[in-house]
Amino acid sequence: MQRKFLIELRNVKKVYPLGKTEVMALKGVDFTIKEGEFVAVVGPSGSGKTTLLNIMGLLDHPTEGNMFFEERDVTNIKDTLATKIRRKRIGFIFQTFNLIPVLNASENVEIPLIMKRLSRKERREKIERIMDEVGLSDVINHKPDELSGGERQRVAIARALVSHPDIVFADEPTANLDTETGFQIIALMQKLNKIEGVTLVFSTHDERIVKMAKRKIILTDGKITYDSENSTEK
Amino acid sequence: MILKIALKNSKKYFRRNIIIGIGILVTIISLLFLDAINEGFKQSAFNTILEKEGMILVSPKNGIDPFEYSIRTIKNYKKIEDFAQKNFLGARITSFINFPLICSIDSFSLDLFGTASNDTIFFNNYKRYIIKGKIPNNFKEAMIGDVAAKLLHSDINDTLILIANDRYGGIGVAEVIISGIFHSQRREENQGYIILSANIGKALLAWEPDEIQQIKINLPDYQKSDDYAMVLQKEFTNVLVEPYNKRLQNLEELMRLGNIKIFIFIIIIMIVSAGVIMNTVLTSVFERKKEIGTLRAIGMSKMETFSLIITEVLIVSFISSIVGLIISLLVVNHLMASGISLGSVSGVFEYMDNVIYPVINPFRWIGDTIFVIFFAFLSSLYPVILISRMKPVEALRT
Repeated sequence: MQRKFLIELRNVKKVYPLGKTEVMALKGVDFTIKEGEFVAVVGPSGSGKTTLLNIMGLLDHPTEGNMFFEERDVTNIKDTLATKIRRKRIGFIFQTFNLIPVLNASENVEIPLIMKRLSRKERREKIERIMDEVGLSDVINHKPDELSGGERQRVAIARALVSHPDIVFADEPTANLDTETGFQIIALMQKLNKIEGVTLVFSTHDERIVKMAKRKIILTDGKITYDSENSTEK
Repeated sequence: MILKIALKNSKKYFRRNIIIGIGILVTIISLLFLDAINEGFKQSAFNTILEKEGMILVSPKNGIDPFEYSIRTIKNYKKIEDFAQKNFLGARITSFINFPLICSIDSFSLDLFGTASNDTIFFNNYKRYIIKGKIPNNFKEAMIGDVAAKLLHSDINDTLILIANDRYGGIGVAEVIISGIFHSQRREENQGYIILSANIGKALLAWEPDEIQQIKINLPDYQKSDDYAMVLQKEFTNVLVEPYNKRLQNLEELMRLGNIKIFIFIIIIMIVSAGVIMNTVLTSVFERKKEIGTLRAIGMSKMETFSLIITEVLIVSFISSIVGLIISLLVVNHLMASGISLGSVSGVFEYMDNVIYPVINPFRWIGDTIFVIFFAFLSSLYPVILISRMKPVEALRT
């Protein structure tokens, strides 16, 4: 069965002002992401990985080009609509975990469910299930500062996946973890991609971790230089 | 969820919130304290007017003048008294004269203010203030304030010589015996008043027996004072008739002027507090930029972000206002019993007692509390709007 396109980028460019000059973070990026994919965006620091993920996650707008979310042009989408899409259909995992420090693990995971206005009972069931899947059932009442780096990132993964988004973006999710924990986190994401069927796009510069992804996109100086789907060097 | 995060954040950033709280606390205490003093002064003045000045005051047509006191009189005042007695049921009428004089005994002399009347009600008002001797029993007796008595080295039963300018530019002289020494709540009375019979006063000023300076008419029902004053004014066009509330209005105008300085002080406090609140909230939200960016990224709207931060400010404002309210209540409650001595300030206002007892007006206090919470809301509005409008990608960038 033909899988449908979730995200499509057409000649996307992003320019940032830097004092009196400008920096071109993305120099015309074209690619598509289909449902259920597990994609690694690889590139050195400053190659435009975060910018690309921010644009795909509707956190930022492209300066030029077009972006489509399920065939709908969301290039210059209004903030209120972008917020709604992010709330219902997109999940985020950050390099520095970005958990709310005053809330415990289960409360952090609960936030997207509250935003989706689910009942207390539904929220509890979903939290229990996802915490079990990420292997954190024992620490649900722990605050972020009582958890290890790996545990914090698992909470962040649980938070990103608990509301069953269509796509999850993870910006360097292993950068603040040791190699072993990093592998565990990617393995967990891989497992959830298989079980939940959620589309996962993560950025990294660690080649060893990239091997675990089904698809690899290499970004160099704001341009895609390799896409394993096409298996061509650009 | 917003309330939950806000409550937990209020607890977590306790030290910073203490700074916001102090700003609010100072504002609310100043405001409530001013309000209580203001209310106390108003009531004190109101009581003074009712008690001492009467509910209707009849004066010479052009009013009282400190330089023309000896020529401005109410003639045939008995007619007015009779009319009031006959037409205003239960009215208590007192006529009196206030004038400057020199009081001397042996080699001591003192500039004083003579207050003279022939009505027993007038003297009876001072009965409770007598600390030595008794109130005057006949027109040859007088009572004097304790400070004045001390300055004159005089005591009860001493004879004083009184000298005043009469209406013709001459000198009027009379002798009186001190029957009593009083100490009232008004400093200027204790220091500068001699209370004597109207006969002596009139003799000193060379007035006719049917002349008087002012008449006060106390009514059992003060609400009728407006109507009665109008009736009296219509009947006696050659005098000035003022009901109590007119005088209270004048007093309120005077108070408003007096309060300007205090209001400026309050405004300065509010500006400083607003600065402290705004700066602290600004620092706080920018330190938590990433947290707010995360919430925005995972789907929190601008409005929800705004509500989250403003709820935190409102929690701190509410708690601080309640603490301020309790502190003010305790302090003012204590002052309500002991009173606040105004010292030399009391002389500024004609109606002011030496000691003011603050009064709590619950409605105004509730209003002030709500106002301070609203003030904190306004003070924090700028940083809160700034952070809630920030793009999530900018907020996430560290």
